[in-house]
Amino acid sequence: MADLIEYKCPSCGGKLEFNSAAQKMKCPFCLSEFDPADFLNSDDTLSEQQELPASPDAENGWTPSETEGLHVYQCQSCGGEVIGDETLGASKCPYCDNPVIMTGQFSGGLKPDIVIPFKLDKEAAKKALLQHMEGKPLLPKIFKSENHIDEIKGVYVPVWLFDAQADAAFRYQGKKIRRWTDQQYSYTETSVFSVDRAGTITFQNVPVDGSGKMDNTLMESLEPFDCKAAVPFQTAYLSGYMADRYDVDEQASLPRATERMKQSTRQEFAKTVQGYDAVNTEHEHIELTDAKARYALYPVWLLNTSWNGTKYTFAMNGQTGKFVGNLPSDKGKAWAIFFAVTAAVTVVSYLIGMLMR
Amino acid sequence: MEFFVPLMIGLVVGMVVLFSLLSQLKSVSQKHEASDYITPGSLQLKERQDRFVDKHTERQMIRQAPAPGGAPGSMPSGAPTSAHHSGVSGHAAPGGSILQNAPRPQQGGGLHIVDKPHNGK
Repeated sequence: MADLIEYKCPSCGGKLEFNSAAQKMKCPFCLSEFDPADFLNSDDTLSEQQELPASPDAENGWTPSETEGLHVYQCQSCGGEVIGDETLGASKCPYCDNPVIMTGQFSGGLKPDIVIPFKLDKEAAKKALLQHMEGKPLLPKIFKSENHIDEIKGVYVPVWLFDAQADAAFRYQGKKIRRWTDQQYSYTETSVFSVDRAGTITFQNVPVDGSGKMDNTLMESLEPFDCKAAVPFQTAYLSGYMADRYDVDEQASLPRATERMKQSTRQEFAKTVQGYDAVNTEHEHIELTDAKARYALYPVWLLNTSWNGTKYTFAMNGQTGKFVGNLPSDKGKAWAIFFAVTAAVTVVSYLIGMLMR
Repeated sequence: MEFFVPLMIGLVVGMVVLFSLLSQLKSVSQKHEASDYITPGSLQLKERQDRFVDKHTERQMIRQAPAPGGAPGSMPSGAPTSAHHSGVSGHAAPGGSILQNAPRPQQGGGLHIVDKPHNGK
């Protein structure tokens, strides 16, 4: 049973990791670089569904409830046990730090169609966190100095990408309003129109987070990812990063994609109704057809920091560098700014009022 | 009382500034649409009709400031207004126009003139 892949440098035998700057497999010891395509034969077994290894033995001190959903892999470099949950697809050996890829998580029907390789490295993520904290007057100063990064990891997040065509028909009520006055009356003339629009619009690669562990809102905040830069899936791209396989399937993900596509359909059709002073939607019918789903892995840097006993999670799009994460606020400073602005504007308004009399 | 309006302005501006600064700290939010994923140029309209349905006009008596000493011609506030109807029906004329993009009311469409009571403000 092939359960782990480790990429070794053909020159020196060192561990090979995917290097985001070079977009190649790179050996940190002899600095040799290799094209990921050179390692395609490592993925030959992925077309067949592989069994995942057994759960840890009760003999090793684990209770059955503790081992449920866990799998034990054996590191091919040092023989150490790598224990992962039921979705862990790539990690590092906790003993020798060698990157390991659990091929069983990406074999058969679990094989992703595409992967967007990391373009930005860990240093870029650290810099982005510092930039994220700049220019925010309400961020507690002490947060910047005291918070420390507990953990930073590059994760390939499983994502479902939906393509679909929306067949839509809308009926709107449009109103044109004209106003005029004469010596006695003011007039308001309202012309009412029935506006029909019907047609189609196409969506490509609408992403829905396929990982139950990952916060969906955080993933949506990192959008957009550029799927033009995606490449056919190869385990070599995962080397040196964490990866999970999906645990939310495409059927469960489809409603979220549908909801977003319908909302955009409404917006796009509404844009075609022009020349009115007021528009109301009276009727709509949206049907999504030709829906297709692809399974992809998206690159995300996750940074966890803690401050004042609270954990803060930040994330960076590993392709575009878009950085997101909510920050704490200094409530005392917020009230001080509010009262200062209120007082200043009140006094200025009062003085202007006095001058205008 | 003369300080009330400036205070209200100050409070509103203070709130706007506060919420604007607080919003800088929040960058995680759900996406409600998929506009980034629309295939460029894929919107194809098979039907595009703008049909005139109805036209109605409301008129409201303009309140005139009473002339000093109650000069003739001044209109007391809240004076009764008379309704005047004009035009035929409130429905679209048969075979109402089908317009593209720049709809205009069709001549002869339904026209109501409805007097709106003066609100006395």
